Amino acid sequence: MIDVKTLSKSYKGVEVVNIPEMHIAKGESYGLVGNNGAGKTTFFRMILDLIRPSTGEVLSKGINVQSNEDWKYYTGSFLDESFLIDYLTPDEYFEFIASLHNYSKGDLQEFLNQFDDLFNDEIRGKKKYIRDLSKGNQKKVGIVAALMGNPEIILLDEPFANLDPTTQIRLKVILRKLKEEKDVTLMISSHDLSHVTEVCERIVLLEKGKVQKDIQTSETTLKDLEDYFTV
Amino acid sequence: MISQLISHIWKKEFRSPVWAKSVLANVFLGFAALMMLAYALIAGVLMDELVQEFFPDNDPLVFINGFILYYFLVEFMLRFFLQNVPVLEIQPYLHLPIKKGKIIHFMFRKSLFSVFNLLAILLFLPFSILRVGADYGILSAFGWLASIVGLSITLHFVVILFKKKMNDIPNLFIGLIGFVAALVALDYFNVVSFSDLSSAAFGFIVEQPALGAIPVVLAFVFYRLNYNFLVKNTYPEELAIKKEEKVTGDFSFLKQYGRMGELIQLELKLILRHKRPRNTLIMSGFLLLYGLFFYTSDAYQDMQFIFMFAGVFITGIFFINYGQFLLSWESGYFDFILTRRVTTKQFIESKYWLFVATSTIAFVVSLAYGYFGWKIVLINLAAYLFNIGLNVFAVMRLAMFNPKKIDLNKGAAFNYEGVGAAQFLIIIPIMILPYILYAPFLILGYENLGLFLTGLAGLTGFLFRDKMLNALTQFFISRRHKFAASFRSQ
Repeated sequence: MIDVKTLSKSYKGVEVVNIPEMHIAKGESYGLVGNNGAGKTTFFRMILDLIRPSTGEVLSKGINVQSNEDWKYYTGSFLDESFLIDYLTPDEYFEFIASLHNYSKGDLQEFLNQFDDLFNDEIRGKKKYIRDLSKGNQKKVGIVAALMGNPEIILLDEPFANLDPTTQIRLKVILRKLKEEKDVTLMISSHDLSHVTEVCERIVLLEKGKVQKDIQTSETTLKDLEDYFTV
Repeated sequence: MISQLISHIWKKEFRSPVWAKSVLANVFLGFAALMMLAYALIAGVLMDELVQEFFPDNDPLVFINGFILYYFLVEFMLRFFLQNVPVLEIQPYLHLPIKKGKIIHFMFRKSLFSVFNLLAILLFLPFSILRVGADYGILSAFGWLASIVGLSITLHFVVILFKKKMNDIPNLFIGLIGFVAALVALDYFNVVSFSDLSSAAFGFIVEQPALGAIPVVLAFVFYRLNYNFLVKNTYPEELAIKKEEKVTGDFSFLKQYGRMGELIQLELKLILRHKRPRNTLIMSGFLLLYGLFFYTSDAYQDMQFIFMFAGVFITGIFFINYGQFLLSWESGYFDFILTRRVTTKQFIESKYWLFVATSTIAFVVSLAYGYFGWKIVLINLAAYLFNIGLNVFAVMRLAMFNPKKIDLNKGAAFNYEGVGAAQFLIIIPIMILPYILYAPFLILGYENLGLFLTGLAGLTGFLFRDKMLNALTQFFISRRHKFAASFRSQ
């Protein structure tokens, strides 16, 4: 699904990401962990063609993401607020994205109904712009929008941060279901080691832009990671 | 304590991203402010002579006195729209062990150092010395000036209080407009003459200078009212400008135009829901009247070449005004645009059609200028075609020259965010491009041919718009990472 080749990014001579080679298979759930400044978001941005790599390339379905825009049609993503149009109401935002995916009104209703629990009656049908929502509710809007249009690959940066415990658990269920039922490729970055090991079958640990560990999740993974980060 | 607060304010100004980003714009702004103040001072110094020159039958003091009330009406409106309400600045200090009152006093006193408060002094101080003082003695001059400065400061605090009250009483603004309209109507239909009233009131102060203390006392009263209000209402959520509860703009009829319609709908919402872009739209409406300035003036009848400029301006003002910040408006969600299922071509094309649509509306409205002769309609037609065929692409291309971030949620007045080189180069499509074909023929005496060719060039550009849009798209794609990086960095 995603292939990374000799990918690196430097700012003023300081290398923030350096990944010589990486393959992410279709249907894989991939968790990226690492401390602040490890290069997680930069890596994700390069996958989404938001940052030009210093060297190397990211291939999505075998095609360099820089060369054309086809990847947009099967990639859902939410990294930060710059993915939200904050002067729209959540309903308007969903309608706008639905129109990009040629959803009918009924399609959109059906799609959004799945998330009624997640929204907790605070998002839909409210006369409130996205910029006036709480951080947690903004995140819900962004994540649900990323799931629209049956994406084959989904990238989420820190999806659990700012969410309340109930929502974190609901989100985990939603993500697992997507993986099992629709064979979606999932890429998540998170500081929350227990969540990420629960959702992802593969964990990549980044430090100073370099891959330190690349492991299949097992019963001992959480313990191993906690040990690694305990200094 | 106070000195620390002052140093915080200093740092706030100099460390603001806007300041650091565009030194050029700040220098320009500072220069403009100095010029304005200098003009005010010059006007103040020359006021006496000007009145004697142009209204030799009037006593200068009576004349100026009659005009003071109108001046304050204008000043009030100016203050209302431009003066900042500094209340939120106290927020970071509320949880610290500092007496609330101290902070609030500091903030109000600091707010006195504003251009608006200088204006009245610069305008009326020279006159008070040169005329009032010379004719009626120093005491009268002092009383007279005190009353004016007092009124100005009173207005300063009235506006602050008024703007805060507006949060609780939404119809206050409509009430104000009605009140002012009523005053103007009363004056206009000679029911009450404010000119006489003003003249009598300030004339009386010249005779009884002690009365000049009344406005000064009034200023203190309003200061105190503000203070009392704020002391009781220091909760940030109560101080903040109230959020609109209603959601504006329904353009669902655009849906029938597919993806393009959706994108245009989005852009229209952006424009209507934020002050700054909304102002560009309102401005464009007002500037439709710009033609009256040219067509009615005898001085311009011999300089018809300037009508081409007027035509370009009238039919293209929206995209000139709004389009020069093309990408900056959407800098807040630029990553969204790059990752979503919208092709770059569609994105750019939707903007193009928005600009064509607004230009077309402006052109249709400008047909009313046919009243001043058919020639003007022809010139405007040529200008309109040139605008939608060539100028609009020139503006869009210029706007992609190093665009800067704009935070839409900031106010509109004196907001120079996003200003860069493009804003200075924008003069090219307005002033130079339309004349490249037109001017030579005009000079050689073939004006109509020049008009025809200018229109034809525009029409050709419009027919080949796809090529133009492709070129813009290519350019956008080659620069997209650069745009994204500059919008992302604060």
